[in-house]
Amino acid sequence: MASALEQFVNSVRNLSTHGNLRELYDVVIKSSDVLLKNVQHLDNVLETLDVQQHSLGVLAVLIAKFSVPNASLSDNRFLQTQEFISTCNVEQVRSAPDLFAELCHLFTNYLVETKSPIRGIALLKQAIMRLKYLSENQLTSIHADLCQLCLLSKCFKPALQILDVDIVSICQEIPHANANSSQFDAKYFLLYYYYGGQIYLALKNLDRALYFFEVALSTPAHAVSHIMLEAYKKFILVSLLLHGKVQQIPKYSSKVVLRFIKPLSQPYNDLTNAFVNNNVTEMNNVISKHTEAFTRDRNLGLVKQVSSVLYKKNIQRLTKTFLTLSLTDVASRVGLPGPEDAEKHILDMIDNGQIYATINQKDGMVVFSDEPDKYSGPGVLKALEEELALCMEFDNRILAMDEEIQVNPQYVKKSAGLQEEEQPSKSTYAL
Amino acid sequence: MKPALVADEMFPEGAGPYMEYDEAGGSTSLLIDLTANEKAVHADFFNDFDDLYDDDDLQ
Repeated sequence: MASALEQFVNSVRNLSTHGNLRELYDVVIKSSDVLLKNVQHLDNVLETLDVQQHSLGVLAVLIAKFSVPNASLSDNRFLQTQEFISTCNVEQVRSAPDLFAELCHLFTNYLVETKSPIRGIALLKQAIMRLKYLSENQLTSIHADLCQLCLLSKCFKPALQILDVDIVSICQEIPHANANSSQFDAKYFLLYYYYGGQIYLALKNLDRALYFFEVALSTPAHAVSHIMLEAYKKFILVSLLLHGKVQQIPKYSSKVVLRFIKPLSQPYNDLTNAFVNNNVTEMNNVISKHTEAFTRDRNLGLVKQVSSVLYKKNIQRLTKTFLTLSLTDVASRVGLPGPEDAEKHILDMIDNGQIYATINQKDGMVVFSDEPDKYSGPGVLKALEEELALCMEFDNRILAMDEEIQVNPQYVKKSAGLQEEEQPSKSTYAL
Repeated sequence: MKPALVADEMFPEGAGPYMEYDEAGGSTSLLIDLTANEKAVHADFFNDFDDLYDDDDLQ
């Protein structure tokens, strides 16, 4: 083993024993070149370190192992990462959130390249939970990695436990010379909400999907982010699916959205216009004209759903005019090819509670009926109570956050300074 | 080229080429114009998923 490596091992062992995490972190950061130059000896280094006692040292070695091509070595990186995530010392790892996040990103890329994303889902989830990020409602860049693996493997449910939590703080992962001003890469913030929205969308939770895309879209920005652009396209489609129109973009959104992102999404704007005009022919023309763009954006499936919703929207409009109508009439009025298609759409809508109707199979007539009173029964009361509890919890959280700001020394100093500045001017006016 | 907007006697040369009349709302909008310059970021983000929302393949 080269002497520089021996020095690294000795420093890690000594500093870990004395619990000097700050110095240990510096040593680990400075040793990355040495580790990269001695890749062939890294497994020997790992044998001399204990995952639990020397977590930061092991973390640095694993990062180095993932950072170089591994063609000539036997690939034991998955098992080593698995052991590290399951048994590492949480206190040590939390002192280096940037390094731990880097390992998770490299691990995710490795799983994507080896086409085995499903193997990493449980591990990354365990990482987020072991490091108490979940219980603290804190967002890390690892969240985005987990969502990416879930989407790639089409295994969505494991991410829900992470996504259902309302984020209240963000892990300061990027170290800065001034320890108080660490940062978080906005890319991972956007990715979390973009990927998370896609997961909710796949699980047909359109409300939550729309909210996630809206957060991505309304993130303060000075430049066009491709992630925001894709979130905007999906925001439009989900809005149409859920509300039948495009939801207003929040006023606090950056000007970049209206100035650049909206003009860059022309096919989607055309689709929206056709949809709000209830014009099936125009919608089909838009879809065939822009099929290539929709396919390239992987949005053709969603566009097809939007197109199907337009037929349903038009059927719903018929219920306001007619009490009974034949399936053939329904098909011709909404532009469907035949009565069979009309029947399929109507059955779907009855099933989803979108219309109230019965179909007489003998004469092919549809009888539309009024919506039964839906604001009665214990179910409504339960839903109301749940909503109230949610609002009260939200109120408490806002109060707690407000209190935290009120006692923040920086805030107190600044607001006191402002008051002092205001005082003389007031007296001037008084004079 | 549009004539420059002279907002103050202190700046007789005008507000500069970045500001337009309709956005002379304050320093924030000017800042965005100066930094945006049609610059795009995150072009390489991972988005190579299958179309997850094509319900046709469920039938």
